[in-house]
Amino acid sequence: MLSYIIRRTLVSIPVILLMAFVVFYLIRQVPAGPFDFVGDRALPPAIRENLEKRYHLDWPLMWQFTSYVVGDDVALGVCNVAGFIPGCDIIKETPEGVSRGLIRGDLGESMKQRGRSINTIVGNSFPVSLQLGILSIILGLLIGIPAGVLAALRQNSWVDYLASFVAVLGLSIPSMVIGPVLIVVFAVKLGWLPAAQWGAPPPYTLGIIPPLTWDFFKHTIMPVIALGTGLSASIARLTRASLLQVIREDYIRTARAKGLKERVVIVRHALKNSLIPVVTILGPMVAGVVTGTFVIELIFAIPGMGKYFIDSITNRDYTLITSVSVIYGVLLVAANMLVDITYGWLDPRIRLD
Amino acid sequence: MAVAQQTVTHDHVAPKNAKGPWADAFTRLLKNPAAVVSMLFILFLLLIAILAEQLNPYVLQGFSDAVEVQPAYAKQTLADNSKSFGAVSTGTTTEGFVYWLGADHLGRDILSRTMYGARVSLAVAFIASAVSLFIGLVYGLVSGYAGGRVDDLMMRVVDLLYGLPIIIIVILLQVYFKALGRQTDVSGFVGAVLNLNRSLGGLLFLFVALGALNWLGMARIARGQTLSYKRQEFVEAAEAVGATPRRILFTHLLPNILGPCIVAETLAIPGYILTEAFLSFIGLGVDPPTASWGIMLNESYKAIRSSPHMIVGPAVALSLTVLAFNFLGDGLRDVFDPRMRE
Amino acid sequence: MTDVVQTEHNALGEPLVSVRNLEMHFPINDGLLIQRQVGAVKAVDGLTFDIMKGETLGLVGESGCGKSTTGRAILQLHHPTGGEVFFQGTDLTKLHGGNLRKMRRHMQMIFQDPYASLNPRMLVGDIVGEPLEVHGIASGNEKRERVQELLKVVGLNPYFVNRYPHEFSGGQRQRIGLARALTTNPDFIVADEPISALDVSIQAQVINLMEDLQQQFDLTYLFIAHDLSVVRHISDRVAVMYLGKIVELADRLDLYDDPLHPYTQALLSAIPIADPKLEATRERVILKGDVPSPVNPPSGCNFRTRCPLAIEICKEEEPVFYEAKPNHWVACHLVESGRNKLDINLGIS
Repeated sequence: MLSYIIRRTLVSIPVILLMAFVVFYLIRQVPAGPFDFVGDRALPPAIRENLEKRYHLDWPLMWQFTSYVVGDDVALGVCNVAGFIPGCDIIKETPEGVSRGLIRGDLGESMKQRGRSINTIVGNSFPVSLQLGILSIILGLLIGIPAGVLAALRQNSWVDYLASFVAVLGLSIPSMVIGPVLIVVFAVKLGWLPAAQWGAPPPYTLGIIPPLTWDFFKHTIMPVIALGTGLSASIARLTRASLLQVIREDYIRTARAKGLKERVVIVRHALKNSLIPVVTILGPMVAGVVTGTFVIELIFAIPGMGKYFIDSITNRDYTLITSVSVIYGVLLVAANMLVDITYGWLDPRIRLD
Repeated sequence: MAVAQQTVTHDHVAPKNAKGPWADAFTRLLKNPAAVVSMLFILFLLLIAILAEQLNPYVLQGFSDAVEVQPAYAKQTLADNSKSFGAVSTGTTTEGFVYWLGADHLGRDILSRTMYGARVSLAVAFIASAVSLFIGLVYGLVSGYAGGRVDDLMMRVVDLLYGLPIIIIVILLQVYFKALGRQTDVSGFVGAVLNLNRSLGGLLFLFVALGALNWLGMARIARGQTLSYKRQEFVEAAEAVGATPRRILFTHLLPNILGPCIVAETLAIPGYILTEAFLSFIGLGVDPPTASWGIMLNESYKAIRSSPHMIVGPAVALSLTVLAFNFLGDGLRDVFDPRMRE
Repeated sequence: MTDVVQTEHNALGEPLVSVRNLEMHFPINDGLLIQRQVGAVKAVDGLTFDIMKGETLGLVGESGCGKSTTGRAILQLHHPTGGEVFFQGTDLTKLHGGNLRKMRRHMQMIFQDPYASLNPRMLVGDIVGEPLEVHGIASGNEKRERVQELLKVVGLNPYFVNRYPHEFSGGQRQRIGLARALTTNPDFIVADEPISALDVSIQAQVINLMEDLQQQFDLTYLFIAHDLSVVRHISDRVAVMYLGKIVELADRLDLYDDPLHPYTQALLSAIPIADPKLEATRERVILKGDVPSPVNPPSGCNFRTRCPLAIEICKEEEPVFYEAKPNHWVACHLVESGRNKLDINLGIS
């Protein structure tokens, strides 16, 4: 198992680097750089040039990326040893740099919020997005699994039809509709809940666990419902389909034939096996949740990473865009790996090696 | 030859059901009321999208077109600040114009824009899914049929891309395309593509981005289907008869895997529509002033406190459309894969 | 199954198909990024035999012994990893692409599963007529007429051309498969357990039809089956296969009267006899253990792990496949010493 994790991780590193490069490259091809404008005003050329030098935008692209990954000092070191590599002349002229490199855990410095390290930005905003995402998935599971099980056990009854219909409905109404509607009803009309912001500022316990106060929850309820509805709908549909399939298997019939109580048959024998497909969609679901947080954080003005990401695109904050993309990449790869490990643990027929 | 007579005198019983597999599937689909209603709704929407100009009295797409209803603007927003949802259903009349769903923050009729928005969503639904179906089908078919190392390599590429947050890449692609689209001085092929994209309101690049996002899943499904059919004896039989690989691929395998792949693609359509809405919502979809439900939702969430009525049109239209495609997809899946039914 | 008129084939005519040292090893690959071969399934491991013009050679063995693979390897549906297959003097293993496809006109196959072997998305007319199109023999109306003719020949209504396979019963489907195999007027047909998926009542009809067609079109069959009772009626000669090798090959009557290999005797002991008196005296040999894995076959004689008579030499030396009696070949160490007979009553008169 350990060797599997290590190998998976090793295979993932080049993949994530490749993605980082694609992002790194694409964003630099977009016309208008980070230092062309401040607000509506064009920056004086001299200042612009200085700023571009400071962030090494005058370097050849490959060198910029190298420095982003391994750090300025390493790039300089390479050039000192092998000065014949193209581009080294420029690098040697700019000895002082800001990047210590991804491999040393430095995500770089924001180009727009100058002087602020991206580690700080991510450190403050990522836990917020994570809290939003995890709570939504938990909500999705808490509603989706019982609803799916209930619908499957009462197959073709009105409970089943109602649950199935509500599930398709939940799947069809996007969070960008649910969010504003919730705001109108619960914040504007009834005034029960706040329409914006996050209830608990960082730092958090262990970097992620928020204080469990009313202030936190009243800010959380609406975003989590907006994001979790779709999740619970798809989980409910999958649970139902999967449980129905499992119930028809011979070993369930055998368990019944043995005279086991229906409850025992369902809980002990059917449920665990029917949850296996549910686990497998949690991987892709994380990707969906990431997309969801972009929208939800915009609508509810939550200071999460998604909001920073969208803002940084408009701002052309090159480093922030690349680094946040890397974080998302790592998150997704880790989620998929976790899902595969859980899958192997739930289904002994699958061996991870 | 007693033997021969024995063999010739029977098996002339004419089978009852003489319909082809496709017609048969369609008949079964018609027995699913939700799917039928959904199909009718989608046809209705298609009609609206095609006839958007003819159907609505105000050509209200852009700023220039909004001029003639500009007087409505002031009264409209005032009315909506004091009233709320109530004002929406009754409609607001200004100088002879009826705004069934009210006007937006620029005084544009929301119903008209919602009708125009159907164009974007349906174009995305049909064209992007066709593109993804085509690429994925060919890729999966070739990978599955070739097998061995070719298959290994092709599937590793898919796995590799699958593990990435492709939405991020799509967002970046869209940023790039949109910036590119603003350039006007490009000539030649690129210029022609840019012009085409501009005349489509930014849709062309959206198709490319969505296609890039979604062919992976289709490739996997197509490959899986190909693998399962490749091992069936009728493929071997075709080979034994002397059929070329091309004939086996397109005459024998393709018609068999097409059904499940179309079903999978239909089930993916809600995803395309929602992704377009998402991209437009964050400002990376079609170019304003082209009306898209995502853009309209973005505008309405920003004005949610002052003009909550703005959300009704795009929200209902988007939700109903996605709902219809979901029901249709479920219906098709039941028809083609009876094991998934119940 | 009524006893059909015995066809008077001379078992010692000229060979139509000659198989020499045929080998079909499927690689087992493993590896994280780079696949490398870590072993091989020796499905067919060195077969040598002839199929004479006009005869029916029965090929018998348990599931997984490689008999189906042999049939497919002869037709080059699996490309053999070793050995040669001569068809009318041409080495098929040397042919590729278009040349091989041209050759396929002359040799056809009938499949085991009448449900999987017909493309569910094609009309019967297109299925049966496909060889005509592939080889550019006929198309359009001409193809249709020829297909209707063929359907008549196999005892089906010619109007079935416009129907889909799912509308037919197993027996009818197998007739469609037969018609397809006959389309190009081939000389040689490999029948891979053509009746084992059919109801018992239908089996005799299909066998009889096959015999009839053989006379009518001067066909040569390789008839693959998993038990000896089926091939008894249709075969001129019978080959018995075990774990990728042929252990015994003889004239039908000779094999059933005097089975030399202990495995053949065990298989024969499993056949019930129609005469109740003889049936009462029949004893069965139940072979102990499972068929060993073809990835890692036993040393020496393949069969020794399950052979009740195995002695020391069986472990050490692989028995040679030799002609123990005229036209009766066997691969067993015990035949020469006469200790090869199991002590049972097969009920053979």
